[in-house]
Amino acid sequence: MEGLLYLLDLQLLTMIFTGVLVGIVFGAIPGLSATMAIALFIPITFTMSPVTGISFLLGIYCGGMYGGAIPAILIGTPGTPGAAATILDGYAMGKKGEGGRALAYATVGSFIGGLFSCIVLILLAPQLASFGLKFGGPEYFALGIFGLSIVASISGENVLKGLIVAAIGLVIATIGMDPIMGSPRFTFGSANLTGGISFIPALIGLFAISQVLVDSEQQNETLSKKEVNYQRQRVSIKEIASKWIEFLRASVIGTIVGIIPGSGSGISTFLSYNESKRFSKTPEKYGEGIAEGVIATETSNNATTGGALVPLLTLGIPGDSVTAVIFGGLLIHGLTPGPDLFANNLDVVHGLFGTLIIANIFMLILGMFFIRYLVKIASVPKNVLIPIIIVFCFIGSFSISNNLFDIWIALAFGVLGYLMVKFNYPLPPLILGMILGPIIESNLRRSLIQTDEGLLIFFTRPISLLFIIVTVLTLLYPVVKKLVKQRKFAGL
Amino acid sequence: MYVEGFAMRGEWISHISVFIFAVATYIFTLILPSPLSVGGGDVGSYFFPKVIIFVILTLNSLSLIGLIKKGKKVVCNSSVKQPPNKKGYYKVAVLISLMVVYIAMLPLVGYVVSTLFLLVLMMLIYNVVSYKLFVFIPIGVVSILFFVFESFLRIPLP
Repeated sequence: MEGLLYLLDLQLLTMIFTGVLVGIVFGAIPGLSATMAIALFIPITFTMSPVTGISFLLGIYCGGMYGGAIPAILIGTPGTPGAAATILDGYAMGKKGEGGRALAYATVGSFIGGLFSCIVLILLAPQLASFGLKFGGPEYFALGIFGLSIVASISGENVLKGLIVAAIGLVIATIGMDPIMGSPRFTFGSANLTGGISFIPALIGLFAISQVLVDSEQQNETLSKKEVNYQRQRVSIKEIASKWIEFLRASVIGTIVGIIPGSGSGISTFLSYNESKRFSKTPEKYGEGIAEGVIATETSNNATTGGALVPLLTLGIPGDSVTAVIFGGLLIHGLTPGPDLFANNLDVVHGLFGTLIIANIFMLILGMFFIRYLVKIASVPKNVLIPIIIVFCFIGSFSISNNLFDIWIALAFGVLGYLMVKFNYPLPPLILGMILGPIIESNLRRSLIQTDEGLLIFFTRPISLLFIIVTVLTLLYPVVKKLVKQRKFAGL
Repeated sequence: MYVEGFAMRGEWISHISVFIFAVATYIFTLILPSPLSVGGGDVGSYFFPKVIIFVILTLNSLSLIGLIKKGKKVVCNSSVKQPPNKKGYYKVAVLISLMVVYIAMLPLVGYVVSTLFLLVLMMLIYNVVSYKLFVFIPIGVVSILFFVFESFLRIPLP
């Protein structure tokens, strides 16, 4: 457990605290998000040590997931997608003058959910990682294809469009040097493209600049300052303890949903809310402003953080867009997520486990004692913030490798992301394709080169075959679900 | 009706754009080095891009067929629920142009001047009216970023 010694470093603790604060700020402003915050601040972590840099990003992750509750409860607008379900009872409590209590329950719930999922991560991750060490080329290829099948679940209704976007991401990943032959591909003679498309500027463009362009279409009135009404209210330990079953149920649901690649807090919060209502003795009160509604959503929201890190850290498969961005952060620090991370950098992994626990503690402290200052964030006018974010995007992109070309990449992907949103194409699959492209291609080609079996190699190895079967089932599931729904509807 | 027509046109444009992208990528693969023939299969430099192009064309065709078959029903379920916001599009076009000018100016006049210029113009576009914000935000942001990157992180700015 040498990794835990990292936690004695004051600089590390300061960065975790700063990360949580930054995350809360970004989560609390509608239109910004934890994903955007992590993408923007990755360049800043470049000069830090791996543990410090990743800890800062994980702090943003934890804080960002919680921060979305603030505007959801106070102004009825979710700061993050995961906070959408919190509006159901949180905003209703706010309108009744109980916004302070709702925020207190959200803070405690986020802490408990986050901590629970951390413990599950610490217990489960090493076991999964040791399973992953048995992987060879065919298994990694099949795992990469399985990762892409996640696209089917994160693309919402547009499964085909999600798969098309993921495939485009795979093509973009081939720009640069061929990993097997070492020859340039799609570089058009440009030295800047020889190393491929820089991942972090592409990420910044896709998640930050594109969002800014989408927001810019709105009327200027909607971007200006909003009034926030907040009165400080406390919740007793006795009240919290009396609802322990709600906290536990939501924590379990959030963690399990987080572990499943492709699902995220958007699904876990509504699922948890529905289950809480189902088990309640007074389900008719849900939606009118009761604490159990807020507990169910916010606890499961933060419980997905630890869960989503399980497939990322152990198998190198990002579970959602936030973990896809964190993947980029790990790469920039020379850490490749997957089984090898546990084999070669176990102290770093233990350090990150400790970081998550401390980040949740800092989130609790900030939420309990400084909430009256944090709520003012929700009223910051976006028409002042957006220009600042743009500058940050460009300077951050430049700082990766001191190359002006990276700023052009960020802008190009920002425009591409904007067009994708306008034409109803999902964004996360593009990043997934770019991340998994090198893994899929190099393992596919190496496996084919090393064997005479051809494509049969992927079906004769049991782990590879298992991944392929799960992939096919994952891709077919939305189609089958739709057909069953249509049949039921026709039958009615 | 106008919204449906607009959304339908958007779907056609996007599908044709994907088709053009796939065809253009295929053409570019024709100028890559010769494949490395090993063990009964060609797995050279353009093997993987060609496989993916085939996948893109297949998926795009399936999506297009679905669009033609279901027509308005698909379009009505799409995210386009309001008439196109022309004023918003002009604003986005102006912003993109401004960003292009900013990036082009960076190597010529440096970080400080170009960033001040960008911030002031963007705040004008977003209808910020407070004179105090016009002064303090650009100077503050430029100074803070300069301090954070150049002094604290020792990352040189353009």
